[in-house]
Amino acid sequence: MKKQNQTQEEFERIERYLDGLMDREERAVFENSLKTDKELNLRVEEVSLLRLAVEEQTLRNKLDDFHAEMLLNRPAKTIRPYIKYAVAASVALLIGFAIWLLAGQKSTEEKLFAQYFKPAPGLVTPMSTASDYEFYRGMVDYKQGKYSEAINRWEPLVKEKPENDTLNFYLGLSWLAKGEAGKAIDFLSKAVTIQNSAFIDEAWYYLGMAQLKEGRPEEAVRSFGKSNLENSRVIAGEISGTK
Amino acid sequence: MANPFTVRDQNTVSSRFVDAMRVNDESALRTLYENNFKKVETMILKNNGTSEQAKDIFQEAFIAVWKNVHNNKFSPGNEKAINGYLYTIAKNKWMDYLRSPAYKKRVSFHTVSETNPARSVVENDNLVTERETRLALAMKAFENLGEACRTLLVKFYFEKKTMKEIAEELQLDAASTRNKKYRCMQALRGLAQEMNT
Repeated sequence: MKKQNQTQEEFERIERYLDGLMDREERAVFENSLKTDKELNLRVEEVSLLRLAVEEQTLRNKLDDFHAEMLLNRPAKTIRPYIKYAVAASVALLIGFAIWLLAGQKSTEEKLFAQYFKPAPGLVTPMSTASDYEFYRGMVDYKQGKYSEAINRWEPLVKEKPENDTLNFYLGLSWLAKGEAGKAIDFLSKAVTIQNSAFIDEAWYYLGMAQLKEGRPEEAVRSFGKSNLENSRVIAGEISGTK
Repeated sequence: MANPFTVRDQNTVSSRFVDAMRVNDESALRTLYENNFKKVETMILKNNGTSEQAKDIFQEAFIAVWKNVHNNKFSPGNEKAINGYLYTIAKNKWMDYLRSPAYKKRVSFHTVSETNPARSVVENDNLVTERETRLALAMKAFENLGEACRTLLVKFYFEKKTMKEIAEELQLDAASTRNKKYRCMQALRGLAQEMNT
């Protein structure tokens, strides 16, 4: 196809034709020019192809997302029964060892953090968020535990939309899941300032967790106090109890 | 939108499903994916394939079904018909792959090929039409398009939202939205033409 410019008028006329939106008269005129104008035929074909490319590529990306999410929800059936017990036993050993390590070496704050921290579940990715393509892809990474990848996708987005509560919340969580409490505090303290956020209780809760991990228990108690989650009350109680 | 597969009445399943496919209803597409992958994977694992290859073959079959529904080449009578159709296409694609030079070469040299089996069949059988090649390039061009344009075009052509809905979402007037759409399509066209040369 030649590298010629296409006017907006022609582009829109072609779309009207492809979508069957022409009235009978316009259609007759257009089909007449199609008969004689070979270049016009090619340009109609080109617009139709480009539209299909957008649609099909989007579907392909979605199929990958469906697949990733399906695997996440799928129980690991390939493990044979006896291996399962062996795995369970070694996991129990590991957990025991980890607790011993944490209990022996970490501060009270770190102990509490390790006891309670669990990354929030990701968002279900319905149609409305699917339009935010990069955000959606990042959410798939997040759900798979690929926090660095999620951060890489989301950081450019939050620069464009610094006031977005969802982005600030999940960026904070990703950093926290990576163990970078300082970075997590940056994003979560932003997230708690956003009015009418659906994540407000969770944001305060995780901000408290991040502050706890940073060894700032007084600030953590204050944050937990602003969250209506049951866990916030429990942890705030435990922190106060250890003091 | 309600999930078309939960509808009991067989007569409405078909048209509802076709509608859902046409407007790319996400929950319907996801259900179709999740309900059918396992069976195709089992078939491929039993026939010298891997889970990764099962994914490629299944997705190519899925796209084929989707295209046929869009082009009215296939109007499923009910959910069973779609599932059967999807399985048959996947199975044929896998059998084609097992017979293909790409697979035979791979087996004889014991090399692990990372190529997508579904696509290598097509390439090797020289069945790729010029239009398909151009479509593949245009899809690559779309992936390289800027974020703002990609989001906008997805709203129009995948989500099938109206100009009015999109203008509202973007908080623009209709004329600016139309102009944005035009400019994004020209950008996509330019990228696709560059790749084609």
